[in-house]
Amino acid sequence: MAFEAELATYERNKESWLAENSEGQYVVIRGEEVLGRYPTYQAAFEQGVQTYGRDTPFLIKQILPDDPVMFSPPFGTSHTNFHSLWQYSTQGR
Amino acid sequence: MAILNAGALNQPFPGNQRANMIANGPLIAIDVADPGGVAQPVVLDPQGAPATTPLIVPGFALVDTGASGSVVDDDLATRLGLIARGVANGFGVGGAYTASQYAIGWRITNTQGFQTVAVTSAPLHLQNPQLLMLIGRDILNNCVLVFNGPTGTFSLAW
Repeated sequence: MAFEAELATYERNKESWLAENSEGQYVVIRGEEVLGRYPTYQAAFEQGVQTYGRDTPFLIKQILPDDPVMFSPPFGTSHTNFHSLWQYSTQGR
Repeated sequence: MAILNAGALNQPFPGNQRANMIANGPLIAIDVADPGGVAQPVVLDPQGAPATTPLIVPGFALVDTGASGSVVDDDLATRLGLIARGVANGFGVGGAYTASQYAIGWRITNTQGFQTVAVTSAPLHLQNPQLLMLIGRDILNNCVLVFNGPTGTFSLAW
């Protein structure tokens, strides 16, 4: 599983972070190393890239009591008709 | 607060915004980039020209209130060389799934500065090569969206 070590590190620390009122913040983790907690995803990403480099994998995770489950409707079965968008795009903007 | 007032694309029913909105939905012209590229200072060559230019891809995003999280086209993610920065748990028509999460930079065309957000990826290009992104509720939760169906227009404020 991707980020197995990082997710284990997150789970080990989650309760203490929540107790420190860090809910909603973003944490950067590489392996067992916790780089820090940041107020926004963008700040976490920028600090991670600055520290580890753009090409090095690191985990960015929002500190929440329960992980959210994403819901996406079946794309392509909605009202959207991108044939017209294709025509538009080929005519230039 | 910034406000974007937009109408539907003027295709495939020229002059009929309502019909075009029914056909296309609320689309926004955007630019997408690797945030790791646009966030770094520009390096100049000895002649003073940029030695490396971050790849910025123009296209469209669909405002999608039905998606809890934003989505980027998977071909675009590959083209930008994005590296997974997380894992997202999802639920769709095929049941529960786990997807890689990426950081992308995006901005509305003709605005300054890229915002870095977390997205998953899906083959949006199969619908249209210029559809780069679905703007889901993770972003819309911080916006005011007014969808005016009868006039074929919408406003997005953030």
